[in-house]
Amino acid sequence: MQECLDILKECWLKVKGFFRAPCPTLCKHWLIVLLAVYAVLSLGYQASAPWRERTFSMERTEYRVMSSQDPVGEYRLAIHYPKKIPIEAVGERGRPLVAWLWRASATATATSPVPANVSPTTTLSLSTSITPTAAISISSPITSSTRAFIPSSSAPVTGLPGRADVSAVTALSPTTEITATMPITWRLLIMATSADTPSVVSQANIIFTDKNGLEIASVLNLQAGTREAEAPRAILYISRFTNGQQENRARLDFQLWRGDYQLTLIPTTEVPITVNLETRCAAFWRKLCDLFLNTPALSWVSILSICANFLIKQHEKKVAEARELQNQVQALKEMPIKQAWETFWNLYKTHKANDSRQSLKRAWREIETFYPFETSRVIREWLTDHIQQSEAPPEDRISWDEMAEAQSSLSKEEIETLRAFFVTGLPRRCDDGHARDGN
Amino acid sequence: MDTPAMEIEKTLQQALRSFRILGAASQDKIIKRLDAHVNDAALEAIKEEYYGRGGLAGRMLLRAWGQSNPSLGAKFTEWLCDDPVPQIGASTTGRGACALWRAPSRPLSSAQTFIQLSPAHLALLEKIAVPKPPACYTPFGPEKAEDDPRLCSPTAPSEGETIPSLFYDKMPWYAEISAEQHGLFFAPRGCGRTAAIWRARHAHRITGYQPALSLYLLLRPPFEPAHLLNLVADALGRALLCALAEDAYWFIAAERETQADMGRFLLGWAGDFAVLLQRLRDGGLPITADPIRNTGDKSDTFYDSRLLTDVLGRYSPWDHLHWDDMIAVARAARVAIGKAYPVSYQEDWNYPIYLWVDFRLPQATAYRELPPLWEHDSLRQMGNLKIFTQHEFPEQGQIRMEWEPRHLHAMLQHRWDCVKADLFLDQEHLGETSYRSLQDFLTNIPDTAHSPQEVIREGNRLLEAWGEPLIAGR
Repeated sequence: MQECLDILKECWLKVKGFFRAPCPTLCKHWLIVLLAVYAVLSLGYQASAPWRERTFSMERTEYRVMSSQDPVGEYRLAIHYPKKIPIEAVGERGRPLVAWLWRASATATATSPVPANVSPTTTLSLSTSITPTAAISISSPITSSTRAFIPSSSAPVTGLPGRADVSAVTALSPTTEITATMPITWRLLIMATSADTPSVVSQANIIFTDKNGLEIASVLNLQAGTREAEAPRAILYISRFTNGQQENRARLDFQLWRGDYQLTLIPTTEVPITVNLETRCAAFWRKLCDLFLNTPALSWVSILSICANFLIKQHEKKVAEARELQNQVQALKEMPIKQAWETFWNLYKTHKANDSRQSLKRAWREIETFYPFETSRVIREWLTDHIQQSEAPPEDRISWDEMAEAQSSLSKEEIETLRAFFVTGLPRRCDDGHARDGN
Repeated sequence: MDTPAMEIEKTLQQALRSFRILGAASQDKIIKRLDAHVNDAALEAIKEEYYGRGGLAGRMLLRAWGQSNPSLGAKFTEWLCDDPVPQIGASTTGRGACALWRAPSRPLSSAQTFIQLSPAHLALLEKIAVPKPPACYTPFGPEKAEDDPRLCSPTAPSEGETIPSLFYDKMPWYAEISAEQHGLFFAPRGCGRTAAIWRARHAHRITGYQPALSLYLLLRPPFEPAHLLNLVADALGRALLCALAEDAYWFIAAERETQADMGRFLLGWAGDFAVLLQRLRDGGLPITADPIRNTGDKSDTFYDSRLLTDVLGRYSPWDHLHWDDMIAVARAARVAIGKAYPVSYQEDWNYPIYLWVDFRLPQATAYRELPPLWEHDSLRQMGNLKIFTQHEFPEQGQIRMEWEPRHLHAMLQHRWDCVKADLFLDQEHLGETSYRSLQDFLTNIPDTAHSPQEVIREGNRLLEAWGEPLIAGR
């Protein structure tokens, strides 16, 4: 009960903070809409059995410990699932959308302690009821488990890198089976757990197989796919590893020739939640129903928080864009007049939002006030260079309306005059010196 | 539906307005578009729209069009020779706008006598002769020539013509003043030195009836010869400004190199672009302080002025001042003016340059400073050096500005005729005695009289005494 209250309190603080944040009214409206949607879905789809039956679950996770040398000492399997398990939701381009502590109803069974004379190849089974969803990837349970399987008495890593030193290396080869009903893109995070290990894994042999044991992907050389981050960390992205079927069971069988690494396997989704929220397509509603109604582990509070975070991120994105625009506007004032005008005009055409344009116009007015003659001359010369006849392609034509509203040097009447002379048809010349109608 | 002639007219107007809006850089695009829709068979319409009513922009567009169309170019030169500065459409930047040329307005001298005319006589004056009769009317004119608003006439006087200009230019020495040669003039006090200088400057403006570039140099204490270069530079700057204020076509149409020399000099002389604009504004050009806010109806002359400021804005100021450079600028200006107004100088494209020096140093200084000034090579190279002084230098070949009684009589008669005074200063209005006394004064100038100022003063005094019936309120 106390935990539930903690969650509610935390959620309330989050929502409260969101409403206090300087976010646009639009975000709040979105939130209200989402709440309404949730209510409708709860009422309307509660009885729709087909959706309720479907689950996205990682029901069973197996870890197999392999060692190339005799194990020394005891293996201690110490799995301590915290009350709150970090959840990482990954959006487009692998950027985290939500970092949120969520309580998982997880149970784990294992033999503890592991006997000292454990065979070099030991398989420990771990059953969980953790339910990854299409939008959420779970990293912590696997991470904590994997770390727990590293022999506490492993020999120090020396003489690396290279296969020649394989005997001195503690090999770790877990196998992970994950069942998902959606195509999943996998991401493998390999993180060194001590500061003196190299940040880039030079070689590994990773084979991905489907549930029938057929190889569907393999990576022999990690270096090609390894992105170097801050040491000592290396991240390997295995993008679009999917067979595109509803039932997608993958078995990861990989060996590392280096020790002291923390392994994290992160299944991600191909359907970013951000896209679905905006497109409102039917599939999204269905998935949302599944998410809301058939996922016991997901409470409405967490969904609400995801939405709130999404909206906040959107707002932050807008704020960042506005800040960037502000920097560009500030830079305008430092430029030569001609360059300033060209930059201003490009920005003005790019930014359609009213507040962005107002900000740009204010900056340009300031320049015009300081340099009235120069700005007037520059605009008129630029217009002379860029004025196009009616046969020019539409994208090259000057937007006369935008031109009229963007600057003050030329009035609307003047712009209209130019438009009439250069764009609208003039009477066509004929041989007797008189004019006839033309296009 | 518009007739073809109306369509041509409309197209020409749209083109000219677009040219005015965009500025000189747009001329090629405008002409390309014009060429596609109007040919030179519509010469009359082109002349009327661009030469007659087009102002500065019209001439600029015509000039550019004429360069790509030889037959139109020949016509344009012909029009320029006939009337170098079309009166229509140039009312503001044209002949009347030369505020820089005028002396600063000042109250009339208190020593003068005035007749304050009754409303009836003011109405009569308006009706017969004077467009704007002054409230203080002096039929013989103000004693000081620079106080006379009618000192200058806009056109050259033809033989026997009486023009509403009180200046009398029939004196033999006036031809010497106007001659294209150097001249040193001795003008005793009250003999019309100032009037002659102002009259000559007016006639020798770029749009005057004896077109030239006139520099005016006032030398008065304290004078340091070392500062002469700066004084002449100031005179040249003001002269160019006067010429621009009258009509900027010669400057905008000048070749780029010539234009750059003059533009850089002007900016260097003024100090910076803003000061130069202010001085042009003082000279009568309709340059707004803030063209951005001027979003309402813009006049044609506003656009014409902007053509000028666009050109001036291209250049950076001169950072040096040397005699040679200044002489080169003056010569560049005379060539530019000559090419712009090929009225009678088609062979060498040169307009004369006059340097009018009003030498007002006291006698003690004058004898030391004037000879080197008169022999100054650089001053003589700049143009026709004309020095006017109250001091006599017999050995320098001075020309004496002397008045004989017959000249004074002719001068008074000229003024009498100009203001048509005999229409109301007659026997009926004045009474027989007063009228005869006035006629006697006019015809019998005493032999001792040598100063027009004294004669005018006496005439005005007599009018005040005898013209009591004319005086308002009495």
